[in-house]
Amino acid sequence: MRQPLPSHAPKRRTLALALVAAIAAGAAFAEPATVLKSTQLRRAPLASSDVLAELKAKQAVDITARKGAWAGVTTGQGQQGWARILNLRTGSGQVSAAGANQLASVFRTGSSGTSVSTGVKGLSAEQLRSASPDFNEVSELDGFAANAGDARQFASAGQLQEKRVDYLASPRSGRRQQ
Amino acid sequence: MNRRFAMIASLSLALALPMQANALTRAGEFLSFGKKVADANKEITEAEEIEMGRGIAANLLGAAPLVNDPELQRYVNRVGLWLALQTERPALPWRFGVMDSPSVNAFAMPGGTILITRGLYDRLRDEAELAGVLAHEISHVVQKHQLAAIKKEMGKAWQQELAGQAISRSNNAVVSRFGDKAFRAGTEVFARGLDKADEYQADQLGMVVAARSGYNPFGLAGVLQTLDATSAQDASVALMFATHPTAASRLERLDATVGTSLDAYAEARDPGRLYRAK
Repeated sequence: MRQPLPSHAPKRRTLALALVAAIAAGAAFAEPATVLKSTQLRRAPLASSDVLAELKAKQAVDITARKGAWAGVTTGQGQQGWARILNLRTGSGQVSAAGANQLASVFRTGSSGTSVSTGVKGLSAEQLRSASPDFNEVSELDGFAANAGDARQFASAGQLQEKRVDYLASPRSGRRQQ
Repeated sequence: MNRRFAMIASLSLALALPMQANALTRAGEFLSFGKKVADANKEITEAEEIEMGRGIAANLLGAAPLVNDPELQRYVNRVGLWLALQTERPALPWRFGVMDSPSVNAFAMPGGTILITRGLYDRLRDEAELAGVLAHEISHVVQKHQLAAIKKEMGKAWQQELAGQAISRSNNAVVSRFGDKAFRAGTEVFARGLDKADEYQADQLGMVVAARSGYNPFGLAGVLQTLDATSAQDASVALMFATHPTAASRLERLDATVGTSLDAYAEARDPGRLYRAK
């Protein structure tokens, strides 16, 4: 369902079918992505699988699936395979990154740390600062709390299995301690 | 050897018992500013951390209330607590809530109250992605990132208030020690954001917490890609983007730090039951 149709199919039909498939699959549109760091395109979502091609940094691909550490991708040449998910970004490359940075700097350079208002509904920094506390909502939240028994039963119903996994050694030793 | 162990055990029991009996009076003494309070650098107690978090949560919920969907709220509490149980602070009174706001954001209060916006929730693909978001926030609480930032934000006020200048303003221990300065400082931390290093660390620890809980730890990567795909011009992500490193840099950092080390857990099957909010 998530696999794109073969490129030799008649164009109009492809489009119509793709539309139907997209509607049927809900969120399963191909997502435009960019390779963050050169990485391998593999036949299957496995590190031991055959390498089909080398993907270059900044190369454009489409993400068609996600599976564990892997994303199913289609290259501009129509080649399909799997790449490591952490090596793909979905923003439009530099443009978006620069935009985000600019926005961030607008916020940060505001006089004495006050931010610009975004002027829309939603949680802006100003709205957080000017909110009056609502302790009734906090009590309501208490009413939804789970207990450990609930949580364990819920996990087992979802076939989630507890595993022993150590934290990874951080390259930055000596975290800020107060 | 067994005998020696038994002796040590009974000794420590003997030491522990009177201490427990005294715990309440001790706490009372401390809160009523006994001699010890002169130590202005003293850390606050866990009970105070929890109360402080609740005060900040009240501020955030004053800005946007909970989504009126009890089933949704119970669902996120189950996912959240299951994750929190796999951390070093399983016994905190963990609370998870979805706020009724189209903004895309999530907030972790000291003491274990975690709020995520409906704008973020509705963009999640599956439960592993929800786990990715919640495990990131849980890791902030476990590491006490916000608490440290609040202390920094309050600066001198933290020390002065801790030294007892705000005695008995209220029955609320935190209010009586800090006035509402701590709540305001806590809210300010969310308006300005944490250190980037704290965010990167919470990403990395969060992936481990998700893996411990049986989720595909790469759920977080899917969320980061969703954020990355959202235009910076989109107002719903304005505060989130202004207070966090870019999603692309977070993906790059995870690739550099986590890399393939959690691949063994990546095949975990998603429970396939992400609740869709009403």
